[in-house]
Amino acid sequence: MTRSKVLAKLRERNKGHYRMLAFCIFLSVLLIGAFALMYFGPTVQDFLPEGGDTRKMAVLLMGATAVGCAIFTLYASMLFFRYKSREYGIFLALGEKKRNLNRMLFRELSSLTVSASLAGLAVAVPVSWLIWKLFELFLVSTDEMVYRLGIRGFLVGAGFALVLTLLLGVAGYRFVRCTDIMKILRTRHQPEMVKKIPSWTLPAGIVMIPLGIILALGIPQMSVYLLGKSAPSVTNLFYIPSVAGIYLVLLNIVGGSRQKNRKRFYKNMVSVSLMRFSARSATRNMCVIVLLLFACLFAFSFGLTYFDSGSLGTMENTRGFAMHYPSGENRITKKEIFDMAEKYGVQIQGYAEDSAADLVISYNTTDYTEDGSYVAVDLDDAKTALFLAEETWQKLTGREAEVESGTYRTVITPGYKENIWEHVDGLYRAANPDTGTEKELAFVGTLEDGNLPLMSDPYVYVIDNRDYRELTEGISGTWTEQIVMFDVDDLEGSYPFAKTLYAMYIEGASEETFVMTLYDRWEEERAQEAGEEYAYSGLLDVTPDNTQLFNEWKYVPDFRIVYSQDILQSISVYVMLCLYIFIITLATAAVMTYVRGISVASDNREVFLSLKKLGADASYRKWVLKSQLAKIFTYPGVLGCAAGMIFVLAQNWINDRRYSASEMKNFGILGVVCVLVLLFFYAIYRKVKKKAEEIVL
Amino acid sequence: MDEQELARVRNQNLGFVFQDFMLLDGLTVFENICLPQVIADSPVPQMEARAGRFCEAFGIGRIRDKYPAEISGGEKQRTAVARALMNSPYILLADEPTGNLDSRSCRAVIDAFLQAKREMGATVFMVTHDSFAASFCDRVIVLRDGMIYTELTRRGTRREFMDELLEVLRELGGEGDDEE
Repeated sequence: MTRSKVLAKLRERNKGHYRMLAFCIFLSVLLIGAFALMYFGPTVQDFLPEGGDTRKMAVLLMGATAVGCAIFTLYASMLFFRYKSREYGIFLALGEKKRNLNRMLFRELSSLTVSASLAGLAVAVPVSWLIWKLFELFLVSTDEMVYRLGIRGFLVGAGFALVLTLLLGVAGYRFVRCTDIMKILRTRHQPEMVKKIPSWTLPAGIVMIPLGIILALGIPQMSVYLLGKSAPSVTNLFYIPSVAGIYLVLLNIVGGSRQKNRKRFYKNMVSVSLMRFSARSATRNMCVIVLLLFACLFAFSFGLTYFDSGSLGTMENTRGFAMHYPSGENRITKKEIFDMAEKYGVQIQGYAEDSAADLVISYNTTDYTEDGSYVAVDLDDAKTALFLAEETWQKLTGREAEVESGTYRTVITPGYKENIWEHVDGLYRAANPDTGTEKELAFVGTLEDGNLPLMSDPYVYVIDNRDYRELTEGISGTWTEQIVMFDVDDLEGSYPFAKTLYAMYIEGASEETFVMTLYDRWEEERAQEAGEEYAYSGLLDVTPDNTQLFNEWKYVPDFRIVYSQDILQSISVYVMLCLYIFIITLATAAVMTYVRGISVASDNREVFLSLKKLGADASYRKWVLKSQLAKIFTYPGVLGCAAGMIFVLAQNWINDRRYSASEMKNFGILGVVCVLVLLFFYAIYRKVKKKAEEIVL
Repeated sequence: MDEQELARVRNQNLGFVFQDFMLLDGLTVFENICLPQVIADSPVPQMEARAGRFCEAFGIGRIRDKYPAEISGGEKQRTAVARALMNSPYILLADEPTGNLDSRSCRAVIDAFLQAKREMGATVFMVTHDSFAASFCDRVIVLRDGMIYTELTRRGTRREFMDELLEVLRELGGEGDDEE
């Protein structure tokens, strides 16, 4: 029997510990490697604009993800070292040289880390391909987004594996530095009891959790609406009471204050005492799990919001195709559109076109001053906005609009909620930019349409037919626009047709119309008269291939299917990141809970032995163990999910003081995800319970 | 007997006192004493009253709300004795109960056993290498290599019984040493 044979036998007997650590390293490297292969691959790198926000955000989120992975691997290594400490101590007590043991430990650790890392990197390739294919299936399916492998992703993955190896090495070094044999051999941990917890801390904690969230989210909004000033970023400190609330609630659960019901108190006494004995570390650990679950749900909710922004939505009062362009422009004709549709087998429905006028408006709006205040201002003859005659509205949308002379209706998108800047009733006068004819107008209400509001800033207005004729008499073609709107029989299947039409539209456009969305000819002329520089002058690089011009180009065609696909492409990276963070935070929380559960059993082996000797039968001991483990899983699970739900609920409400249908739907989905997360926790609980029973019973 | 039945016997008919006390670190002295009746699901008022009496009887009343980490070895063992007596067992099994204690604590634990015998009629069955502790017993069975070597019954004073015990131990240890 040689030393290496002894060690091999020990490894064989304790392969579960090695497997657990190897799995965590493998999972970490796999997650980061697969992500890096995707993100640093040529496809995403070519797609994302250089130096853009998406890149910054992606790198930031990836950094956070890497930290999460490193934490859960290090946490798993603690369990490994705990097991090793006993073996180590016995060898030391038997006279083995510490140097030999250290060498043995680092040899084992490095072979474990290297093999698990290599396996993780190797599996990362098919996994990243598979996830990409999944995203292609649901999100992106264009030629530019074909999966391509790049060396940079590999290097990043390998770099992460190296950092992880170093971190585990540091953890190992800290472990071997402990030279006290008795300390190593002692399996019972140090008492970490907390002082008596005052009874008020539980209700205080329960109140502080939502209060902190509401204050941190609500104060910046209240500051803007009530005081007319932006709140300083220091208001984020209001999240601290929420975290403190979580800590207090958990401390009460762990510390277990004396219950008034004495029978219940004694019934739970042993289980409570076990947790109370390690109160500090148990509370800290549960607190981290709650925050991880919160981050996990937050990432999921964020991903849902991104995903929603790329969907076609309800298409209520919205046409699939809409265009507007200066009247003098030579764009595609009705015949060309119908011919193209026929070529692509698309059936056009409800085709309508008419002209509208850009009139000079005097209106009330909100200005943001240099000292950070929001002030209401009346701007006379400030800019132009698109005006439709009642009959044009009816022709384009097929819907009636009741507008009396001297009044106007503001066109808003379905489900629109007014913001602090613009007010639907802000307009009070309109004027002809050529003749100067002007008319006082009064607000009588709004009209809903999905396409028209996107054609003019701040709004599109509908006025009485006679008022329109009076105001536009003598107006030149410079100030009128042509609007075309229609639907197709199968919007989802009309992407090739829409792309061709899009290209045709751009090819027919003259270069001087390639202006920014907020460009206003009237404003530019006034600026030139005053000798000032106009902020929105300059032309965009508009090409038939560039479909990223929504919210950029003033006359961009509003082809919903193109728009939706483009948004999906640009958000797919975000959705992917959010899903990754969701997976990683959940995995971290699961590993931490698993390790905690197993530690409860291994740390309290003697306690269960005492209970057995005192006459506690197996069912009582099982019950004590079960209630102990259930607490570790239930409370952080429920609290983490509740905090996540409260946050999303408060955030959605505070944003615009209402819940939109999409927010309600997402909230429902989040609820289902919470249930799935809790079921996942339950599955781990069952596994831990089985393993823990093997240890203590 | 099945596991269930064995557990019931351990809880109701036997009391255990161990060399390393085996107190639950997360429970106070009072709660540790209550434990056997908690396991037996006994009525709370009677249990608390009995545990309170034991605390006073074994001189651990002033430390009843302290945790094991905060008390001395003697106090721990007295707590263990009180706990072992909670269900009025037929026999109190003590495995080297004085093994980890200094002489003062050792005496306190023996006093606790005597008190248990006197006031509660408990039978104490103690395994010990400590002849001082054994001298307080009414009957001592001396074992050698797992076999009964002799049996002694106390008739006179404790000191006389201790001398008798030491004589037996001398006999036991003296064999084969004459040549050295």
